[in-house]
Amino acid sequence: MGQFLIVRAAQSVVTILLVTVIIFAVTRISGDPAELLIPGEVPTERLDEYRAQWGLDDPIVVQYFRFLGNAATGDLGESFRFDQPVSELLLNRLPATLKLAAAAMAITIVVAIPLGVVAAIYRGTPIDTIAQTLALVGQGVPAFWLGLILVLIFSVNLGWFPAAGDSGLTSLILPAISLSAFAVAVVTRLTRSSMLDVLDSEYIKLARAKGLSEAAVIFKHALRNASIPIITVLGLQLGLLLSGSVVVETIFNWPGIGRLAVDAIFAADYTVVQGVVLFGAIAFVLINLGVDLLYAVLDPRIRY
Amino acid sequence: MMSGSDSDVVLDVRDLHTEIRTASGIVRPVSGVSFTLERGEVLGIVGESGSGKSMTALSIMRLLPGRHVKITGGQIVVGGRDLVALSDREMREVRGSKVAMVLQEPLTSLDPVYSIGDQLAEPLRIHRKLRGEGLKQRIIDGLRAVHIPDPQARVGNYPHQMSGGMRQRVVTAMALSCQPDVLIADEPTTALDVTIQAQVVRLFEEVRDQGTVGTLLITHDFGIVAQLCRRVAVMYAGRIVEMGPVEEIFDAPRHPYTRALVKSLPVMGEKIDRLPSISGHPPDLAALPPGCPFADRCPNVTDQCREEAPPVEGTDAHWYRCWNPETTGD
Ligand SMILES: Nc1ncnc2c1ncn2[C@@H]1O[C@H](COP(=O)(O)OP(=O)(O)OP(=O)(O)O)[C@@H](O)[C@H]1O
Ligand SMILES: [Mg+2]
Repeated sequence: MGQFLIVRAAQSVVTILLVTVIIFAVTRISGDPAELLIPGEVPTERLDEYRAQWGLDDPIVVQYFRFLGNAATGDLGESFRFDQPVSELLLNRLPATLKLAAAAMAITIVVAIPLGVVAAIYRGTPIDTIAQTLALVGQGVPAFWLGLILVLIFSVNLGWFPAAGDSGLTSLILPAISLSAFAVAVVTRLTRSSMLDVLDSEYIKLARAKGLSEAAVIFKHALRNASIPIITVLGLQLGLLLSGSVVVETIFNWPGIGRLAVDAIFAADYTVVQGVVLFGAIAFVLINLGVDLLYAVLDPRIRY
Repeated sequence: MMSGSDSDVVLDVRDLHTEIRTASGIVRPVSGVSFTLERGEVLGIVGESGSGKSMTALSIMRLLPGRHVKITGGQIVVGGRDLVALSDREMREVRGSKVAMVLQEPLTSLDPVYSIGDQLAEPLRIHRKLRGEGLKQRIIDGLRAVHIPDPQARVGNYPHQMSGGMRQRVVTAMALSCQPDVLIADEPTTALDVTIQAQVVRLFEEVRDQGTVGTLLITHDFGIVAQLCRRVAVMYAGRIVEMGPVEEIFDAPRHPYTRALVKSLPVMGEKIDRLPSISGHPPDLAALPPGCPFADRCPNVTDQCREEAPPVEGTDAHWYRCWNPETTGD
């Protein structure tokens, strides 16, 4: 286990380093920051001065390592647009994004897993058909469309929930539902199919032959085995919830990292874009690490 | 036992019928099966693939696969009670306690995510209400009884840490843990290699000789039947077509199907995985003819065979369903 942790941690670091190279390269390929930031006809001396001020005249490799070294200490540079450290901007926006992702994840777990389990147990019955239809719809409907429909019905017409902004629990519900729809669909389908596989297995027959109650068969034996693939997909979906919130945050004017990213891209505020992407990459890597550790807890066949 | 000579019968199956609703009609994989099983004996059930052996076993356990499969008639009497008439709850109390089962696939019949100690504890907890030290001791004793070396250390093992033969022993220990009256073993050796098979057969021999449980042994392997069983039932198309003492079935089979099976046997001691095939195809259970289901493949067939179901002939000890049985001798 100890060795596994070291290896996985090293892999994670390498992954994040690769991401920093790509981020850095992409933001530089997309144009000269100095020209982007000071639009219009500007004297060359003004541009050079600007480049010298921000270190943009150093060799690209030097710039990269400076970026990396600073990033390692939490310094992601200054936002040109807000005149504020990027790390500060990220930290300010993080709670809103985390709150939204956590709410969407909670909805996913609470709705999708029971729905998938029930669909598998009652395979081929109307309950199963309903669950599968819901899953199909959830997977097909784009988040922005669902978000707009929800706003139209529950905010504009019924006035139950606020249409935008972060003003407590009621304002969280509509964006969280819009954000979770896709994950609910994916996790429902996977839970159903994993449960069907497991319920068909010999050890489930044997569990019944021992005289176990149906509840013990389903929850102790079947769900525990089915949870191994489910955890993988939940991890993946959590990553998507964190990054997929771009669209939903925009629609609901939610003050999170997703909206920060959109604004930064349109304003060519490249240090902020770098910071957001780096944050996303680190979140993904950490989630994957967490999933791997959970595996070892859930499946005794996996011993690192 | 309590009530005299009758109590020697631990399982009495009477005219059992099980039906499967399928797209192509109703299939009757168990169609009027009757037999008794005595304490301390191993009763063999042999027959071609698809003849209804597993369905018979699963019907007795009432663990039929899905709502489209149902017991539609007959009785399964265990300890004076008809299992067919029990509620689901009552039936759960019988499973693993009075009637236990060993499945065909030792490699997959243990739950991979729980230790074997955990899994062995389950039936003892539910049926015998054991807890703590007493429970632990029973688990270890159970493993020792099936010759698992170093049982104290093994209880913490997970299935993947054990060989196929070991796992089959664990499953057997689990089935015997609550001292059932009836043990049903559906092809317990098929998935194992020859040396391990021999060990498992020896284990069943020991279980038999302890004399506390009656074993229903479903197998393709006549060698194992010869070694373990006193009596054997031959199944064809959902019915028992012949039943009698093992020597008579081998040396003087009366049903033409039994005779064809026995004749096609390899020399004793040779390993076979499947029951040797005889010419012709097993009948389509969804469209059985009105008469004898074996008629199309039978060398002795007459018009009567095709029209009327054959009667039960012979004695209580050795009976068969045939209009034109083989004459005694070979
Ligand atoms: N789930 C099912 N749905 C429809 N028909 C089934 C189902 N399970 C079994 N059958 C049919 O029931 C019949 C009896 O099957 P069973 O499994 O009892 O045979 P068996 O004698 O155990 O064969 P084998 O030696 O291959 O294990 C077969 O003809 C099979 O086609
Ligand atoms: Mg079978």
